[in-house]
Amino acid sequence: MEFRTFDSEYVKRLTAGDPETEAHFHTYFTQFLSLKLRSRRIDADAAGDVRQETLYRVLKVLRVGNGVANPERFGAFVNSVCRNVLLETGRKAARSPDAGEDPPEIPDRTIDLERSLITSERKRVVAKILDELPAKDREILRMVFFEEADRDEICRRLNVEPGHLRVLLHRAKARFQAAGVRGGRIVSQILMVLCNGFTTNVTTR
Amino acid sequence: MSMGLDHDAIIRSQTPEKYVLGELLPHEREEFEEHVADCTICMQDLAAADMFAANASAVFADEAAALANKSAKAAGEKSGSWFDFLRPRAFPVLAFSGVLNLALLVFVGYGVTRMATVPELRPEVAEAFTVRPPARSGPGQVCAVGRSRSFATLQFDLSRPYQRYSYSLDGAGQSPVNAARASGSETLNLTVLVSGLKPGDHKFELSGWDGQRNVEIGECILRVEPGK
Ligand SMILES: [Zn+2]
Repeated sequence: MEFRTFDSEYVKRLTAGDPETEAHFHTYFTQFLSLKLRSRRIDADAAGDVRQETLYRVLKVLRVGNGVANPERFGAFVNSVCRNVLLETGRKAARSPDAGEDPPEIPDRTIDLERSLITSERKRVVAKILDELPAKDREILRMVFFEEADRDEICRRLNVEPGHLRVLLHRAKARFQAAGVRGGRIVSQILMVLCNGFTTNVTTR
Repeated sequence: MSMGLDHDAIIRSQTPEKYVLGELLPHEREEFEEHVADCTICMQDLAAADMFAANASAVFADEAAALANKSAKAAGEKSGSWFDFLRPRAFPVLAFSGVLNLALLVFVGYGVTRMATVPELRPEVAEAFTVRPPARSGPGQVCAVGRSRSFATLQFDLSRPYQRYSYSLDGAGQSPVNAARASGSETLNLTVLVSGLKPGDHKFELSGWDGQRNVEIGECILRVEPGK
């Protein structure tokens, strides 16, 4: 089973500057790149630069370059561009901290998304989910997410299997999704609405 | 068209959770990212797990801050006016990064660890050490505390009151602790919120000003162990 988002029509529309497709492109890949960069513990400012450079390069390839060979794997293409940007950023930083040119400014819609990751409403829902957990499970999550304690040590001290952490997060996440946090749904809703709009266009063309 | 990894296998193996928990090997992370970039469902799943993790972290940080404030307040009330200046607080100078990475609470008791009298402080997260005077112990006393502990209380026996006190903690600079008025022999309890401290040795020194010179009251190595 696959849930493809991209195809040649999407890429064509993005290349042509269709506003709806462009909005989807920015929203989807801002979220994707934010997750990717956060998982590498890249600080917010540097991540913003990498995201902006990545999206700029992708649009440049589409609009003034050779385009993409495989539109169905457009996401993987964006991912590979980001990987290159990260590699170059690393090399550039190693050569000289101040070297390099700034990419042209393109609207960065990522800032609000980053800032809105943690909200009081989401925290309230998460706090409720945490409070309903058995004390031991709550403590495990506290050690994982707040103390960032060593996983093996958590398992040893609290006498749990490594898989238990995943199961805990999986269940908590499911409850978080089911709770339907308003703010938490914003991005998903934008994605789904745009994807539906896109799907409609594809099927009716 | 394939997206590399199989979507159903990803869901079955809870790969998004592994990703958020940092359990994937670098090449597994790359493969998963390549899939997520093209898969709306995995993307939403991953975003939800990430969002839960970020907000859970914030909830726990808020709790730790509230706990520190409450215990500080309670200790301040119970310690009376002997050290009115000792308004327990988080010292900005000690904050390295993030929320409440490190806070130092200072409060005074009469030979009693106030931690035990504060109900909000769960006993399993507090650990107390009596720091011996330098003449008896030398500089080498090690107070080992696991990073999983939220607090470590360092107790200093005061043979006499001083006009003012100051402490220093490696990497966090010095902070003055000024006495409001003199009193008889007491115990000074310094509570360090250690959960945000980096593992390793942190030298802690306490000294008192007797009006003419700084007298070393005690020092120890606060050893933060990664997983004790
Ligand atoms: Zn998938």
